[in-house]
Amino acid sequence: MDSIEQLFKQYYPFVCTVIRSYVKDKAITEDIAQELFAELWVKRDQLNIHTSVPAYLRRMAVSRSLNYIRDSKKHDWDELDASTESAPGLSGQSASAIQHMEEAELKTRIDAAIEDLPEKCRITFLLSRQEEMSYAEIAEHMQISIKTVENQIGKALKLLRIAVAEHRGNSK
Amino acid sequence: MEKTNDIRIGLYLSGEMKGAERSQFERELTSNSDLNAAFSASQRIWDNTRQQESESWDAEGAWNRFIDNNAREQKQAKGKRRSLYWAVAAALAISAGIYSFFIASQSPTSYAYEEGMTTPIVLIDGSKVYLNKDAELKVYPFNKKKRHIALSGEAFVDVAPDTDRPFTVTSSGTLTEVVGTSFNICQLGDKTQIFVNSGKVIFSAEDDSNTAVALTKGEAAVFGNQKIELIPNPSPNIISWKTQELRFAKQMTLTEIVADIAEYFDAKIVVENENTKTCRITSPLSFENPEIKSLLTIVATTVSAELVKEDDTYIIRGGKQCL
Repeated sequence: MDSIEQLFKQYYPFVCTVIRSYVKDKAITEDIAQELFAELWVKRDQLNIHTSVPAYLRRMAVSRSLNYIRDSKKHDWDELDASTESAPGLSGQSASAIQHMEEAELKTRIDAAIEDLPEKCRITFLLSRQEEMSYAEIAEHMQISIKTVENQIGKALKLLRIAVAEHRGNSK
Repeated sequence: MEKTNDIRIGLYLSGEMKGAERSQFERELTSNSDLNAAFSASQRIWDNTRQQESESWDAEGAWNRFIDNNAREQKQAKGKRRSLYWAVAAALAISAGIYSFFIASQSPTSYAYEEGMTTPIVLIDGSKVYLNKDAELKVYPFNKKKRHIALSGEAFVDVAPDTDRPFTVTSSGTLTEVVGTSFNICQLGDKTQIFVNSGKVIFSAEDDSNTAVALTKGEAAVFGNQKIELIPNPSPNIISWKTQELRFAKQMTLTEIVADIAEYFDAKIVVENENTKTCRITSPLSFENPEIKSLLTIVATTVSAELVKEDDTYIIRGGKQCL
């Protein structure tokens, strides 16, 4: 049966997973997913999708998540994380620890480390890595400069290297 | 400012770094062991970043909530009967939706007037298009730079403001560009007529921007023979098919009034007495959801004439010469 029901049930978990990587709250994630499908339903006759359905839903999910984050902040992106500019460098030893870490362990640590990144840093990194957006696209989506995107990705990688090597025992 | 190594690693891994800069970076990797260590660690992290799998999601429960919310909205908007059939309608309608899901093309989506159509076609940007009888609309996929539609027949367009994306309409040889306004566009034989209801539009021949005229609220123009002419004192009833309201301004002649009524109802109306044709009404009249017979009776009364109907023609008969 080709129906909205099928579409909904097939892609709901996928859409939630995407939203959840940007929006940390589970209930809000589900609200955003509901709105996304409602919009899809309202505009069903005008949809003109030039990519695959998951790619389209993914873009919708990302842009709605970013809108939510922007709207819910009292501050600009730039004020979100003024700190952590001078994190210490990474020793050769830690770098080698990352190289030799077992893959499953590494992935778990990366997940935790990403969760702990400052918000702007985390979102910039995910848009680049996960959504495969260009820096220019990220800048447009987040309404920040390309220079800021460069800085944030660089910073994300640095913080991730440190966090993964040290693994501060994230309990969540 | 010099880019830090962290920034350069990011640029390299994300594929932003190109050409000579990229080769230079790769050369440095072999000679600079600190850079190499930081890069290798970053690359391993980059390659092992996966879609974060968080909780599990209850699609079944979410679907019930979805149906609940959206079916209720339909119900509130359209009365009670709908919700029962909504699920069925959803299944039918989405086959059209799925259809467009899988068509990857720049081809426009087409709409045609349907009998009894009173609600507008709402475009993806929120703009609304009301189609009059026999009208057809083609909506080209909107993008970041432009919104474009093509029309034949008569339509009323209410454009959602968006200064970054001009809204353009082609209609038998004319190009109308707008920035958030509403207007009526109509093809009459080989002519195209436009009436601006609010805001401002630029109206021109499709292939000749030199013909462009700027029209504002209440103004109208017609295009024919590659020329655009302004219409002096356009009738406010140009959009009455959409507003369901007929308005007659002071000083309109009986002929003009009858022409608007005939147009609105698509009816044949004859004024028999030549003397009454140039009579002007002395106070403005307006009718909401008018009914033809009572409306014509009122109009006939203003010139002391009577209304008769022969076959499908209304006749305004008799009446006094006006002052």
